[in-house]
Amino acid sequence: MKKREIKNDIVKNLKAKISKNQIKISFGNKIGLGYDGCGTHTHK
Amino acid sequence: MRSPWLSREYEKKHDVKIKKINDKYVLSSKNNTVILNESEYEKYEQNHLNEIEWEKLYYKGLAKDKNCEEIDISPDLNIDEMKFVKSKRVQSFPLKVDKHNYQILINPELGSWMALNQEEFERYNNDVLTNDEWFSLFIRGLAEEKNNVEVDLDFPLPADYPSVIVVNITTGCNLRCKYCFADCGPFKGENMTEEVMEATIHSMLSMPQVKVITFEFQGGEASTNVPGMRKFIEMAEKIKVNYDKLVKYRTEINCILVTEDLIDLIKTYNVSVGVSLDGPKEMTDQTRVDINGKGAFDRIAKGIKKLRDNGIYIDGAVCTIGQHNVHYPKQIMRFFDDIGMNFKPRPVNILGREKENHLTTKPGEWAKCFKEMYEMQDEVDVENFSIHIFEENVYTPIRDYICLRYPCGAARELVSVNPNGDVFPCDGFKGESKFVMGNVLNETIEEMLKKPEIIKLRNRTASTIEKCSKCLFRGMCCSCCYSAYGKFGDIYREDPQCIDRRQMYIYLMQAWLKKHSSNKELTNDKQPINN
Repeated sequence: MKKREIKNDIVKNLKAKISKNQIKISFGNKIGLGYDGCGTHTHK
Repeated sequence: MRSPWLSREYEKKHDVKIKKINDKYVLSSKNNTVILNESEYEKYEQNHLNEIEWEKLYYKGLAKDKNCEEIDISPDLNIDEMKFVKSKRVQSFPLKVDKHNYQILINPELGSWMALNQEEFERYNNDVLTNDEWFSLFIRGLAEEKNNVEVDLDFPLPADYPSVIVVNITTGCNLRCKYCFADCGPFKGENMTEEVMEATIHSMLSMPQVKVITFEFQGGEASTNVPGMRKFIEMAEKIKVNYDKLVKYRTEINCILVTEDLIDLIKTYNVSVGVSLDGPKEMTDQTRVDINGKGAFDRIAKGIKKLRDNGIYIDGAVCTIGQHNVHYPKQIMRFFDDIGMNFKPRPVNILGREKENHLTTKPGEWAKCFKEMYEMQDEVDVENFSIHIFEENVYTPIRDYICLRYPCGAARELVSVNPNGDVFPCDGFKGESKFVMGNVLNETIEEMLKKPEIIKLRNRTASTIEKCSKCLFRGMCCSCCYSAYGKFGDIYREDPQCIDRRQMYIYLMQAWLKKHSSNKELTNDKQPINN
């Protein structure tokens, strides 16, 4: 079977703000909700 | 130096001015300048810089992130003037990848890491890294700045209030799977009462902070009580108009009983569907059996076909890994590829009937299975969610898989309610009366969250578990609370798959370095290495 590229899109959109006293790197995307019970990784 | 952690996809900026002075290239923007030698500039021109090399341009405003325009650099910042020192929180360990020997610097709290070759590690030990190199360590929490400049990694934190509730609409089941952690089967069959449904719906819809509520129907086997699911959903649809919440539904079914009524319910209310399937017939039939011990594969396959024939998309399958299939990862991958279904392999938990049947994996088996699946992922066209989950934790600061993050999602993002109204911090505890948080008929779930024992559970971090508190990988891991309880009778113990997890984290580090080591300047190894 051909490969479908699976990208970890969630890690994109990291924002950076850099000043003299602080470097702030923030993540603007929503996080998902995968869990390990019976549910699959489908709550995103 | 190499690391995927916190790295981005970089590209050139068009407003960068380039001037050649003798054999050097000066890249400059409004406030910053970087000097590249010939070979560095050649790599820059051809977009062959690695993520750390791009980083020294990016944080000086000389490169951009392909996916995000936002970088705000104050003119008063001068990375070249910053003074860096080693951090006491950072530890190191050697890692061999093919012929190369690396030293991994790791911040066990964050799970951040950087691979250094031997020459770089020697300079690190002697405090003679360049400022750009120190800066790359610094933003990952792998070094400190003498003048107390801080790095603020502003990522979403574990939730304070649950947004998902597993609604165990019945304890009855039409199968008697050998590893069922809830010990459900045809001999039990308590359905949820309307009183419990109403109290559950109000309790979840009144939850503070949360905007989206998901009701996930399980059991027992949810599809054996479709009238109950329908009643619950119809009730929720009516009640939700009084609250400012978006409501979603999903169900996890075994696909044995796909009736017209179930199909209609799924389509009418856009219910997401997941199924349970352990791979090909010869594997699934060993564990997913009826009360007579007969394998259910053929009936499951028929149910899946019926759902699909009716235009219902199946999100994915939970593929429980145990002695019946752990040695056949390739066959499992090919099977799910053949049927075109995403899946999540995960080991059998030691609760319920598993305590009699001993099907769970032995130390090292799950890791071996995972590695073989990982190595053939390019050969299939379906997603293996477990690969995604573990990659995310090793390669990124994102921790959105609530069972692989401290504190875990039990009584935070997730709770579970039984047909009698008893609420549990996690779906995995639903067969364990010891973990009842309260009953929705007597109190709200929000009130239950304030009980001391629940507060303690909600704050269960690596530091509360002896073995985890000393582990290098605790920042990318979490001991599953109900798995630990099942194995050790104590939630404050390491995960039963601890040995496998460590192997998987190391393997994923090696896999990334192997894939990205085409950059020959990565290592300066001069000594022959004996593999």
